[in-house]
Amino acid sequence: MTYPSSSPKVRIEFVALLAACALFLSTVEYLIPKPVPFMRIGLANLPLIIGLGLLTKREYILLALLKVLGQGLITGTIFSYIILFSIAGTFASTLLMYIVYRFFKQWVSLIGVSIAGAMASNVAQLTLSQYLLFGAAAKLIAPPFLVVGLISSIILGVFAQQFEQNSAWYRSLRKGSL
Amino acid sequence: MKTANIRLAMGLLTLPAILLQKSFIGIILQALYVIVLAVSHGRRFRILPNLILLFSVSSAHLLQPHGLQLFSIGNFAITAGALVLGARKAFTLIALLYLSHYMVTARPNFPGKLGKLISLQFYYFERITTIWRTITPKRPFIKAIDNMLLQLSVGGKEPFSTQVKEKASVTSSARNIGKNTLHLIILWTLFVLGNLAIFPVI
Repeated sequence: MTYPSSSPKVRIEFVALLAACALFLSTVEYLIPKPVPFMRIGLANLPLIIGLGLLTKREYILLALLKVLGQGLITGTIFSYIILFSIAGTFASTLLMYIVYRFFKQWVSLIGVSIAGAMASNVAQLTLSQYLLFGAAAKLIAPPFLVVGLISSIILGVFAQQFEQNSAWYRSLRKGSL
Repeated sequence: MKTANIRLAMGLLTLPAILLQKSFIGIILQALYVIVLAVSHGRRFRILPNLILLFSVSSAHLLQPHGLQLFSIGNFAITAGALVLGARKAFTLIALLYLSHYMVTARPNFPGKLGKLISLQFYYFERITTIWRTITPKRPFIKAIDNMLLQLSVGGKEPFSTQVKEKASVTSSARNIGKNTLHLIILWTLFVLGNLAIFPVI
């Protein structure tokens, strides 16, 4: 694969590859035992964080869309209320991560980007749960939900940073030697 | 007509019958029916997430007292109306979730460019899972992922999309159409019975 490439076809294929990685990582995460039922690291967001340094704005949004639709198809939730949570969370985090990375790259590490994304995702999902599930009681689940989100996003951020620093594949992509 | 399209159509036509169900017993029966439908088509049913949903949504509704007071915990009143309202909402969500599971059992294809991209995404997903099986050791995880991505890139000198083959679509038989029509009729009958208050009122 040649990337970075100016060929639109190759670039779109690369977006599909990253989206497939997100699917793969979500299945890997499914196998990891969770200390709390609703706690998840969000490994599937790793391609979204890695993609920040590689994709254009349009490609980045496309990656988020493919991630949501792919996960919805694999888990069978694409026509249920769960897809609404997935769309709200993914697009809120995508938008904020893109803004933070684009404008504050010098001051914010990937850990910071990951935390920003997780907080945006959690706030969007809590707002939606207020209307769809819990009503006013959504306020009660907000604190544990946000704390768990903060912890898992730090873990994911460290993971993304480690990957960016140590991955031969990522280095080759940046140099354009793949 | 493809099986996937038949199931999608059946699911979409059933949505109003579930969303507009007013009877508590009716929605429970509809939920049970779609769960059986999804499970009989290869989907897994896990009791715990459904119980968590049922419990959390019902509890959340207790914060707004409604109807007959059953008992109280301190100043907090447990009311029958709020419990039933919460449980009905939870069963609606469970029914919609398993209906969605059923709708995708035949792997529907999306039309247009987006559909092609999703096919490409699943093509890569299959390649990733195949390559992942050959990767040893799988610890440390970052190195294993890196190896997998490198292998994927080395094998991809040609554009991968040229290798994507459209899966042969399964054409639906008249029997399949009949079966889905029957599911549709049963779910709508449950809706009618529920809304005519034929089921016991809780």
